[in-house]
Amino acid sequence: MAVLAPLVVLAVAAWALWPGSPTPGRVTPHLDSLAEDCSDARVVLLGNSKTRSDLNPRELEAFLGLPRGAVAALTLHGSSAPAWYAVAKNLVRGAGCRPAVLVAYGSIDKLLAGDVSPDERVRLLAPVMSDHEPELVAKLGGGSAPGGWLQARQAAAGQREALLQGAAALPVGLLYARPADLGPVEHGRAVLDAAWDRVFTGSVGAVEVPSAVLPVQAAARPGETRRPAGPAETFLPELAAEAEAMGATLVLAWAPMRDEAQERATVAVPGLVQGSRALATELGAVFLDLRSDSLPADAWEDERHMSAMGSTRTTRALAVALGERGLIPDAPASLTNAEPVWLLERPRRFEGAPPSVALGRPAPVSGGGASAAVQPPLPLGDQHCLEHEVWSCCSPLRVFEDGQPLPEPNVAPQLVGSLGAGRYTHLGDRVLLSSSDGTPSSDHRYEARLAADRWCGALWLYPGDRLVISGIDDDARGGTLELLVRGFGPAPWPLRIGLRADGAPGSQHSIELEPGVDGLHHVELGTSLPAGPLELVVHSDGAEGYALLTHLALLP
Amino acid sequence: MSFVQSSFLAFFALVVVAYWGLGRLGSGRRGVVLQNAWLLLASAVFYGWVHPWFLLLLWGSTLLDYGVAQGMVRWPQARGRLLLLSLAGNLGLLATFKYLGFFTANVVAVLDALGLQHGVGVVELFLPVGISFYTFQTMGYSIDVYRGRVEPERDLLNYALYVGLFCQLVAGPVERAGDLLPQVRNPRRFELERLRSGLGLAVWGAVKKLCIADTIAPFVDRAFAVEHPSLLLLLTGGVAFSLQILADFSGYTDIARGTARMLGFELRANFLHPYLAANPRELWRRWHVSFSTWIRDYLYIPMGGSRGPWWRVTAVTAATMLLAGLWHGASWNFVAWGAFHAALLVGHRAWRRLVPGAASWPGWTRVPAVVAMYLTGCVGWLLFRQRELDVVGRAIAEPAGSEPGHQAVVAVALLGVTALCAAPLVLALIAQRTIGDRLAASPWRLPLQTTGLAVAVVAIWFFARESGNDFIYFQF
Repeated sequence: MAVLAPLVVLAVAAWALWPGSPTPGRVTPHLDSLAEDCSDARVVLLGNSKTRSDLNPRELEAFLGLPRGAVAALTLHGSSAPAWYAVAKNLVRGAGCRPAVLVAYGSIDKLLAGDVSPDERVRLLAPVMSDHEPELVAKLGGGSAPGGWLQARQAAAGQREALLQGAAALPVGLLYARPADLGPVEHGRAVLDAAWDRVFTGSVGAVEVPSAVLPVQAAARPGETRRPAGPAETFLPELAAEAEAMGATLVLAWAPMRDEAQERATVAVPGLVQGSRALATELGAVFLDLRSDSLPADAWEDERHMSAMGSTRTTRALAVALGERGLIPDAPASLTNAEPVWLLERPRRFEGAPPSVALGRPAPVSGGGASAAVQPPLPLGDQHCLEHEVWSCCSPLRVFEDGQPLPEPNVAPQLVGSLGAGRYTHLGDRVLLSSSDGTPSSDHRYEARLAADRWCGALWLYPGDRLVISGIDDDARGGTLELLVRGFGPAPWPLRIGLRADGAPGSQHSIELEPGVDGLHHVELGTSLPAGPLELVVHSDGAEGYALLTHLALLP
Repeated sequence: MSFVQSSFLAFFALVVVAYWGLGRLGSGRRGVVLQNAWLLLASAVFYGWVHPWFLLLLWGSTLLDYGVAQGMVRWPQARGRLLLLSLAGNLGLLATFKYLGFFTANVVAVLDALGLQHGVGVVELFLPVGISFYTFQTMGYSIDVYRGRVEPERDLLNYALYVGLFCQLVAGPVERAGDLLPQVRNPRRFELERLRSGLGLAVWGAVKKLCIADTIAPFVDRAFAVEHPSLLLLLTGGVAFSLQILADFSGYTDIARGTARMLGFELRANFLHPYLAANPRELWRRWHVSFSTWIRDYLYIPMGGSRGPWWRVTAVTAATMLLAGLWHGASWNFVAWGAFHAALLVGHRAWRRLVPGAASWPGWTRVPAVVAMYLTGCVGWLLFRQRELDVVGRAIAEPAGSEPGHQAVVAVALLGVTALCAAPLVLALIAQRTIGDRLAASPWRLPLQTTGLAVAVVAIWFFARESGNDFIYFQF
């Protein structure tokens, strides 16, 4: 009995707590919520929340002239290279994905990480490990348990936290009045979460962060000196092996950091850049130091993560770097315009056809296979909008080669010549283009039209366009219309705005657009309208001017 | 190395097996020498695992007091000076490694406050783990030899093991030479029952540490990390911390005693259900007993103890408790904690004089007294845990930074978690008090013990966090 009884206890516990065969498929919910399917991906991004904030897969597709779905991001919050290796092995190669490029993007300490803390091991590695991971077992400090063990630990941690959260929430739920449809624990948890948020507002150093054991993070203190990690200490050889097994090129991208942190890392670790580059070369990988793109303060959301503007710039820098190294597969033949997204959730229609633009004969441009064709004034091109956080890739110019549309508009200019295959971009008064078949551009006839869908995250209004938004609420009577609009053209020109009731014209207004200026306009719509369904009409009245409408809202 | 690291399991298994094996190699004195040498080596590995240079301090303190004691035998007329040498050496170690930073920081703060130009810098030294414990143990030995209560140990190996036995080295119990040295000198016999009992005690200690103390620790940390806490939240944090520190320290002590028992040693009990104390005096007879009796015997009584006029007793009590507070750490909050307990002890002494018949009150009156003492003790723990005393001051003087309602919700939640975590201790206490004796004599004792062991292992597996916390008393 003294032997049997404890064995029964242990057996019951093992039955209750052991997760069964660990499979990487269980991991999907644990990946960042935006994790993408990589089955059609040509480029897979590995990383953590910084990767998620700094790189925009859709923009990368656009910059590279790749179709939607060609770039997939599989990121795990807080993870580093050991977890990325497990993701590459189990969720990319193991899932049958065969990208051409595997990009590991992150700060240098995450790239060179050769170990993870015990907590991270359970939290990050368990979800992405299959049971047999000899590389992880061999390399992680102090040894690593098999995937089944880690997943059991993770499950236990989840149950333990649930138990503790329940114990915390129950008395709160019992003491505080609750809605009839909520249980005491559920209600208590909601009340408690809100209370914690309020109590911790303004508090600093609230929760201890486990200290990392990473070679460079530890060296990020001023004055400390460390050598770069050797291959045996990092997880890069394992990542390179995974890339090779998939037939992909491994790209190690050192992410931009805020200046102070960047300075600390390079000062604290002499030879870090050279060492990292040598390490990548040794492994047959490509090392990209993206920090050369100095970013302004508003490119940052916080200490580590980028704003949308920073993300656009970093994504473009990555696209350029990939293109310059010839790492991007051939562009597809089809057009890849994104589905239009409406400014307001209302039915609308345009009147008027998109105008065409005559292009001059393209002349070769030095430094690649690109040609430039001069076009009549259409002032906004990628040179401007690529720098703009809202209007990235938004030139409406579409180029046709011998009557057929070229596949990829708004590609990063540096890639037009190097990648060719019909990529083009619009730079102010000229269009930088490449022929679809690699023959000289001068052998073809090119013409341009303005895009029909007019949507690029904002809305293009062409000369003579009439934007009609129907189904306007009655509240609009007496309300205010708010517009943020930029005009383009040789001289100021009017944008006419009207509110119609049941087809009958009502109040009419006009705003003057200044070329090249973002203007926020408020229009009082008036109340003197007959009864009936309302329609809002925005009429672009200029003979040569264009407008880019970035914000349209009805204020009560 | 820590008792709750997996590496300790392998280390201890190796130590135990080899230790009893060596005991069989030689009988009598030879066996003891082999075993002691092995334990001394193991203790050096245990203590020097992370920072080998710590060993120099430990051995320095050991050699100093060994030499002092031998010197007292050889030169009896210089006993007093030799004792002073021991005190100066050990207190010098403490002053340098534990209090120099505190002292210089306060000097700099005063000079800055006075607006004086100075070149004084704050000295920050790494605190060697366990230094407060082993220096007290060696000082206690020298004082006992000086008083003639203990025969000086001639064998350096025995004495070094008395100081450095890994089971009690880093956080006590603070052993007396009269108790532990004879056990070190004499042969130990392997007994299965002692091994089983020691294993049970050590596992129970691990449950306290890993399942209770470490489980509630993140909640306590969060409560005390609030920048503008209300008094209610601080007090609730004190209640939660009272459980954490009891489970943490008594868990450590149980592991220490359990492992020592498996090696044939019996260490002092350090905790006698301290939260069942009905008054401050009783509390200090139940809490950290090896330390409280040390300061009683080597500090309080030599300073005059409870003899003399009330003001003298009050002054002695205050001085003793302030030093006891400072022993816990070089920070003003520990001084405040010591002052708080000094006030409680003085107040209780006055109460006993004012109400001499209180001792004969009916038994049920003990219940409210225990509750009151526990809650009062939690106020002390609040001072102990919150190192920023101005935070406590602000909470008393001003309304909370965020709405008090929200902090009340957090306080209620904290009590809920505390109740859950306290349940195993309460249930164990009730079981021990009600059916403990019957179970001990029952034929079901062994199956219950092994089943309990299995349940404890499962509980540890379930509750233990990947990145565990160090024992709280390691920092002292």
